[in-house]
Amino acid sequence: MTLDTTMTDTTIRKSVYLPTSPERVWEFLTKADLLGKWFHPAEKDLAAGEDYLLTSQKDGDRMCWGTVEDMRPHEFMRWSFTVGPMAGVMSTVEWYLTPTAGGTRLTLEHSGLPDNADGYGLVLALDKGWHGFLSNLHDMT
Amino acid sequence: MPPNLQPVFRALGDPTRRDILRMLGQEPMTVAQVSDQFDMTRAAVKKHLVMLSDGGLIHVERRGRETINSLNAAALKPAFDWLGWFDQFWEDRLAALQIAIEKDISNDTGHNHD
Repeated sequence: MTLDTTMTDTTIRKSVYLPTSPERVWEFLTKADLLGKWFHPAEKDLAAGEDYLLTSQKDGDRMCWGTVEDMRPHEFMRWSFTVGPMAGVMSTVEWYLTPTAGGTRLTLEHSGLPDNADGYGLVLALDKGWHGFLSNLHDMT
Repeated sequence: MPPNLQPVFRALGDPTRRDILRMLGQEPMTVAQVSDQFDMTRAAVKKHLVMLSDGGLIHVERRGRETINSLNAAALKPAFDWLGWFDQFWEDRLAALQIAIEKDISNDTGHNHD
């Protein structure tokens, strides 16, 4: 469970406490194999100014991609970010790492999302681009 | 507070249920009419309809001896509003990160004992 959640019209902000150092959390955010342990494996380790691509472990489909726009190791990282069903619209994901007693507070900020979408049209698209996400959700049920 | 979309996503997380939704998007149908479209027992179809109803994605209305199922398109909106969808998405990813880091820590402890 995240510590708190803020949703405004265009931004999602979530914070989570992790009982390890910012250096180790940073590795989970930037190393190709460690990203695969909680997100999707990356093509290669993330580097400032370079494109990244996270692919599905199940079928190798492109899941999330964009560019690492800014990196301040162990503190801050900004990505441009999109997923297949967004049809090429880019958004912004920012990660903030703050050391706390015994661990790290990690804050995610996702902004610049499309305002809305035609819900029913997207249901029709479910069987094409969304299967990877939905199978993740399915695993939880 | 964001709405709890879990029942909606659970209802959508199955291809048969998505097919049923698409059909009900065309016209309301009885359980028998839905069953006719699938190679499965009526009981199995009924189970899917209950999941859809639990997720609030369909309206179920009794008319005499028949039960009419119809699409509740309004319930799909929050699930496919990008904010609602990504809110759930990041919630799941950050929870997975917490688990991965806890595992990482207990592995480290294991090594120290070797």
